[in-house]
Amino acid sequence: MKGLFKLLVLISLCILFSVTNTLSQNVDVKQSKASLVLSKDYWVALNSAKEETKNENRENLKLCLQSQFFEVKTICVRSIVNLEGENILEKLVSMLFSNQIPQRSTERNLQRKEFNFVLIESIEKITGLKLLVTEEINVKEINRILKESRKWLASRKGIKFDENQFDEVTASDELLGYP
Amino acid sequence: MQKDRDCYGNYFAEYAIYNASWDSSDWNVASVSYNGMASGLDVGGATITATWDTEFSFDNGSDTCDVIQSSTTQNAGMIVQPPSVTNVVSQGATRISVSNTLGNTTITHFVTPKGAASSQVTLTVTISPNTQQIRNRISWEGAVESTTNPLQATISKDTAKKQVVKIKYGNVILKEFRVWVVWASIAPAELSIRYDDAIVIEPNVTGGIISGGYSFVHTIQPIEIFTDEDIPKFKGSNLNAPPGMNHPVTGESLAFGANKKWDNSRQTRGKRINPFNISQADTSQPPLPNLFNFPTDEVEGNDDANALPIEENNDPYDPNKLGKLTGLDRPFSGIAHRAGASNDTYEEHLQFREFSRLEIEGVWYKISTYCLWKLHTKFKKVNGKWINNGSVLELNNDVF
Repeated sequence: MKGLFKLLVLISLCILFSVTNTLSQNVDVKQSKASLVLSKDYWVALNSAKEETKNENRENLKLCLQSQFFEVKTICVRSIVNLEGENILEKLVSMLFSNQIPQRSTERNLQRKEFNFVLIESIEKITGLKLLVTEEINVKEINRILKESRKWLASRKGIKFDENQFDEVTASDELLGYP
Repeated sequence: MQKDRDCYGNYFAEYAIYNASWDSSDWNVASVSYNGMASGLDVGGATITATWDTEFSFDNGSDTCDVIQSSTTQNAGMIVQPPSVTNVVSQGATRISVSNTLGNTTITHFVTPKGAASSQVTLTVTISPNTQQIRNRISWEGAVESTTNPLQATISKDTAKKQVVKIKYGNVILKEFRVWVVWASIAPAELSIRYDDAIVIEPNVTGGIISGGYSFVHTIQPIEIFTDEDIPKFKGSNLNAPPGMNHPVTGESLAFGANKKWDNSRQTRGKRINPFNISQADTSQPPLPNLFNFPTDEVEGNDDANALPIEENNDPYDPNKLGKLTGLDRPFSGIAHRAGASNDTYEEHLQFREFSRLEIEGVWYKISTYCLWKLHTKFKKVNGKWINNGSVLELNNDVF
């Protein structure tokens, strides 16, 4: 009887170890994939973003919005808009606001400006608003688009929109390279 | 040589004529000496004539020979061909290959940046045939012939110009060359200093940002290198990447700093003056290294990691900007208001050398003087904010 008990305990421990090990491996796989999306290697990050798009992995696509590469972020924004729709709108508006940071690199500054259009088009897609009214964008236009988007968000949440509670972009057109 | 016959038709032994007189139908083209040595004087055709006294013997029917004094004339045609130029080498300029030549490909082009005072391009040709007599008749047009070697001539290169050079034999042009001495002058226009209180690092981090710079117009001379039909082919993409590794601040590769053979570029050096140990994490990203210097290679543009249209126009063939390159730079420095304490100061000194460069047969050359400028951003923390504390934007590299 004592021997049987020992055997049962041993089997239980084996099962527990196996389950723990599998869980641990799953966590590792998830972390590994997430870190690839945020890889500092451009090609690794780009391929990972494409893979996450194919797999429709919402969590990693959301994580990917923090990528340092504008091309990678562009892929992920377009994918997550299709998957999350309105749920991702607040994040996109926030990204548009924070996309107004001047870049020391001219090329990155150009990419940053292109990324404005990716974000605005995505917001338009979700809200149905017609936000882009001119081909050239500047700080005044960005602030107008931010205001309209936040107003739309507030109405969807059924809360009163108070424009004073939101920050505006204060950088100049010259600094951000807008016409 | 002459061979006479007697009255009965029998030949005498052959003998040489020594007393012939010689003549040329065109003494400008060919001369002939008293002993029959003909010499080409100029390109063309001439007939050389030899005349000598002869006796004509015949049987008069009475078993004796009658002799009549006569003369004999013989003609020979002579065509004087010019020598040909079989090769040309240059010192002080790069020879342009035929595949990189537009228009008349028999014209050989040489290109060089403008040099120092008294600097020269030397052309040396090889001709065939090459005799002293021929060399005596060689002359140059558009270049100064060497006093010791008629097959060598020099052209000054201390000013930008298009020089048409011809090597001649008599009046005949043997070969035509173009020597292009290219140079660009750079005219800056100030993009004045401005201060922004804005997001500086990440969405919730605002700070003071100071920016300023210049736009530049590079005017290339001679303009004929763009407008003539017979020109070196410098239009289009460069063959080789310009020299340099990575941008000292952004880390971007400098290999993409040029996308055409004509290029406007920039060198930079910088340093931080940071007496209050402001963290690099609280300044604009990527942060400025504590110190970096101008590259040692004069052609390297270490602040030229791309050739995007918003920053550079490197097409001097554009009819609207013929012979011109344009560029601009408006660097900035930012520091987060969260950093430092009241009355702290922080400076970033950025100094620049704007210049033009040209890829000639795969090799990059600097084709302008450096246009010096600097942006020294100076911050001071007052009432919780970093403000402009007398930043400087000037056309010099003083006080680094």
